[in-house]
Amino acid sequence: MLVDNNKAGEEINFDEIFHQYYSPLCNYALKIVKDVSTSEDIVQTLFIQLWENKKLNSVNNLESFLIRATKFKCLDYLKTNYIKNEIKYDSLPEVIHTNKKNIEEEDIEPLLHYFTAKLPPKTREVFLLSRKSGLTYKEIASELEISVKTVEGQMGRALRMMKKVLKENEFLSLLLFLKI
Amino acid sequence: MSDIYKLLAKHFLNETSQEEEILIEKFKKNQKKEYNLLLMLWSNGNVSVKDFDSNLALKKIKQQKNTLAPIKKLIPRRTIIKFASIAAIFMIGIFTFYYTNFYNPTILKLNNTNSIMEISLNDGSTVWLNSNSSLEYTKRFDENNRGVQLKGEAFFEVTKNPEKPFIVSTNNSNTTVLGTSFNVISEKENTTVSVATGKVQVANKNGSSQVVILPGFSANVKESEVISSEIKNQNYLSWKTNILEFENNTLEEVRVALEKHFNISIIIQNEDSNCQFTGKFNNANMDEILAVMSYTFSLDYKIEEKNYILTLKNCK
Repeated sequence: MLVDNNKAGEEINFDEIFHQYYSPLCNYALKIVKDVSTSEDIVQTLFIQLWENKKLNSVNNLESFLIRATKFKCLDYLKTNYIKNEIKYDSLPEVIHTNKKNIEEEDIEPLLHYFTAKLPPKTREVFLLSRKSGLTYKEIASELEISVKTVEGQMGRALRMMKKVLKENEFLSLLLFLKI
Repeated sequence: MSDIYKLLAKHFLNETSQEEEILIEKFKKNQKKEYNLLLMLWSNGNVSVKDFDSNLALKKIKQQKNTLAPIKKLIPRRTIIKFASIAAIFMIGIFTFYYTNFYNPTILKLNNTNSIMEISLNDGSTVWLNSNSSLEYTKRFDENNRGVQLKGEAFFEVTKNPEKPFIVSTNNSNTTVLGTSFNVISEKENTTVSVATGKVQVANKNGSSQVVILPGFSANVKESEVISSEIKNQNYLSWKTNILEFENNTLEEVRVALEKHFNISIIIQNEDSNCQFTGKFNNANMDEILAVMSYTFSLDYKIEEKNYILTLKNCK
């Protein structure tokens, strides 16, 4: 998919990748920096840099790379602005001043949001009705006028994707070291 | 296996049947870590996803890229380091090349002590530099012709090398040799070269006048004229050997040798050219020599303002 190296091809790829990852990454960043426009700035800057460095063609695991790059940019932002006293101390997430174990635990919330934003629209709708609004499968089924089986299927799909994201991004292996 | 996620989702939401719970229990047992992980992710806080408009953002960054790209084309740091390393290696290389091939500082040996300075040169030659004399040469002086510059007095023992003549320059002369030993005295406008062994060519600065001298002969360069003659003062090397030897010498000849050897001034009264002196002094000081001489010559001597005044009474 990313083999095409000519300019037009690169731009198509770039647009494709951008649409695919922009919103999920912004959601991820939002959970760390807690500011909508800042998280958008961070992700946009990341993509501009990737574009200019022509990095997209040489990255092995793109998704994992994008998530980690976003994370580091967010932490960088927090550190810089923490020094500048622009962020109140209590709003600082633990990532900055705790040990590694907590950093990984802190990863979960942004990752959950990244993952949710990346779900296909229908799956996401079902997932959110369950997770956010706390509806039962039956209630979701009647709300969306679909069968309970479909709801079950969508939820299972969501969970499987969730696991896939974790595994592919090596977060799983990292998190498995934690004694939960 | 694909169904397990469906079951897990139901399980987390307490919608599983009893039969299904059995399967979950099995999964929990076999894949405890994955189960716990999914549970943790599942039970983590409120999920509230915001929709970020990727079309708008893409438009924005494309504009930004178009306006910023030509200016903001940063060279990656790694590239800079790479080129800097290459440049550094090149510079070290050039420096080393220059140092080993061209670096040729001038060396000045200045002897302002009372003892003789012995200098060994790269080509194996040895120079004995008398007091109040200086020798100047370059570190790689033996690359083409072996050239040194002398002020004052020095005795040279030159290693033979027919391809690279050894040239001693004074302010008014050039002495060229291939391998020999000889003495050079360079005073203001007067250079005297005396040969001990071998063959020496002495010329004035512009080479218009030159002589070749052999052992026992000396050449004198004065006002760009080169004149050779037999060595009169056989003690010309006494400064180096510390041996003074006289054989039927007149008192006047002894005076010249002593004045030069001890760098003093001697005045002789009642000189008589019939009086001749023979003797050999090895490492003797002036007082010892005068004691011997006064015994031989019936000689009175006194010292007045650093001048030795010798009064000859009669020859014995």
